[in-house]
Amino acid sequence: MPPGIPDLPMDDPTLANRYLADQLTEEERSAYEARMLAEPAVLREVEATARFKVGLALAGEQGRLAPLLVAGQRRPPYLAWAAMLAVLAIGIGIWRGADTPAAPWIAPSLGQLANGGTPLPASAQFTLLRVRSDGQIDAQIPLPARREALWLRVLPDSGTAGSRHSVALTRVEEAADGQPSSTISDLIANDAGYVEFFIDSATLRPGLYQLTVETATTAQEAETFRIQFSAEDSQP
Amino acid sequence: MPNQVVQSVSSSGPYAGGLHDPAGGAASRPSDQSELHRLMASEYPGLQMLLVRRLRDPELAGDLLNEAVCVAWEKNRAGQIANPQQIAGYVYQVALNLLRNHRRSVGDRADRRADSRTLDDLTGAPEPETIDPGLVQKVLRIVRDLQPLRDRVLIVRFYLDEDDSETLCAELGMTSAQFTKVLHRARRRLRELLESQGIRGGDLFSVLLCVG
Repeated sequence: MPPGIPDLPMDDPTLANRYLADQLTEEERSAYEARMLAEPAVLREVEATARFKVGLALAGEQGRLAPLLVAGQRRPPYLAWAAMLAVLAIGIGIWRGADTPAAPWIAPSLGQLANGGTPLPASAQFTLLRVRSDGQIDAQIPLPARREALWLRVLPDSGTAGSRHSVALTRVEEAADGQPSSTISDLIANDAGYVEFFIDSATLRPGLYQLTVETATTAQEAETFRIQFSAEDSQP
Repeated sequence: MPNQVVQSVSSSGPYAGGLHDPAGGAASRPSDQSELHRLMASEYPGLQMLLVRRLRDPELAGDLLNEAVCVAWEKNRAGQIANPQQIAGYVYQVALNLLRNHRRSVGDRADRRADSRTLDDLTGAPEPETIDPGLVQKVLRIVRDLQPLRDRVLIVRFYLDEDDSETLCAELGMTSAQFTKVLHRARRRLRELLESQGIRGGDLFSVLLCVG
């Protein structure tokens, strides 16, 4: 190491990315560049990091990153087949037809979503985290073939254990027309800061929705998440 | 000797002077510099791609890289680079310094107040020809293999959004030890990614020995 240049903890895994992001101090940068010249492995890591960053940016722009950042388990194959049979037998139009409510039906608990007195079955849990770099869609969620309570949890920036929030869900094209959205309030965040709620899948249509989360106890601006609900893929 | 990269570079941009002799004559060893430039483009495409994305202007990025190659080459010729193997590191260093200076000068202009994040977030810039068409697939595979979801979010926000570790640990409920562990795992996959794309560290050295 040249005299006058401070040593760096080279096992710090953040260095290469911080160097490329111009987040190192002047001294750290000098030390890191000296290492980069002296050790080919350091240069190779910088190059690999640069490629990774560009690859991530491209993936984000192509909309291929957002689906990887949403939790959700694929339904076991036998359930998928059962769902397909249900569609054949009943016809999807019976429950997603002309009597589809104008606004989604959301509820703070599973027990509050029922079909003829029978609680709806819950879907896998979907976690919403805002993908700020993507800018377009924060989550893609396939609509199930059969009627379910979609179980969502969202992590607002202001979410802390016990914080209170209201959540509104609006279909984007209808929001532009001034259509009402569905809102529930007084949701309490869990210990990790997540806010959970359920949506009746029969009240959703494929398309883009906006989820707005407000925090009751702070002056922070409402946070919005964009969710693309899509028709379920046909894979078994 | 093929000179594709140099031919594509504008001679009118702010960094265009790098290929020319300061006295106005032809560059003293254009083929040597061209070879260095070609090797930088083929062995270190990450630098070029990053410059294009940061500048949102492939021509300007090409000029800047040319300037960096020229400066590094002159250093080498003047005997200021002890080990010719270090020249790629010098090119990297000079290129990022030029980029930093460029962004500062843009930021200082009252009519162009976009911050660096905004510049990065702009989309639609064409990519350099050197981009590996399989890069996105490989990157997605790395992200997909990370479990649980929180680790994937961490990697994306750290490398793409460039959020700092303190913020990420606080927001994702992680300790710094957990953060470091996830990053180490991702870095191991990154090294594999680079090796799968091929990087022959000796190439630059061999060329410099031949022409130096």
